[in-house]
Amino acid sequence: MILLGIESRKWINENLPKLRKEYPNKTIIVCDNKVVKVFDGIIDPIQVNEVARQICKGKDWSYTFVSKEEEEYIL
Amino acid sequence: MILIDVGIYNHSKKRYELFEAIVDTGATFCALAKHIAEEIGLPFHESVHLWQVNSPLTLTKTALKIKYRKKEHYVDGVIVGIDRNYLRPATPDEECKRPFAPHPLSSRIIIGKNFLEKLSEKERKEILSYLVS
Repeated sequence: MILLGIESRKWINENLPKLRKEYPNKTIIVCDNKVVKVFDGIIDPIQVNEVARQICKGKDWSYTFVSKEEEEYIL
Repeated sequence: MILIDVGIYNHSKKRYELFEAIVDTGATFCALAKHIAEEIGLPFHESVHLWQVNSPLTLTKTALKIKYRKKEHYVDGVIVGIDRNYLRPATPDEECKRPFAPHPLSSRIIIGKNFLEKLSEKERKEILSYLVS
């Protein structure tokens, strides 16, 4: 069963400005209101799910690609 | 930008996978990249013509099973082929004709209007409030 990242997503959205400074252009997995895994660049979401299933067993988790400047260049 | 988490059913592994989703109220359908659609075994249906910014875009339709909170929803989606070079950041010596960041659908999906319409008013309001919080 998948646990959708309700709390972890909220934490990411609230901390995005800080995360952009700390993890620019990295993909992060968040669990228990902290970053538990960092990858360089973009990672295939299915691979992210595989890793998160192991390290966040039974917990609410989420992921995001922390782009340094992405939001400035989307129409 | 509004980002939420949804579960997309993976037909290959018979389970839901968590995806980061961009909420796009201006998109008619939910959209995802072809390489992801293939990986999770989505069906490829007929073509559909849509307007993008300045020209028509022809995409392939699919059927998505999406879980949000505890409910499952069935919606039409579209599959977008993305040039492999756009799935990575631009290189420093690359001719400047694209944003530096990788394509947004490299690791996300788009949640469009047809999915938002399946949700309750309370859920829709909650999602849209993320923009201003």
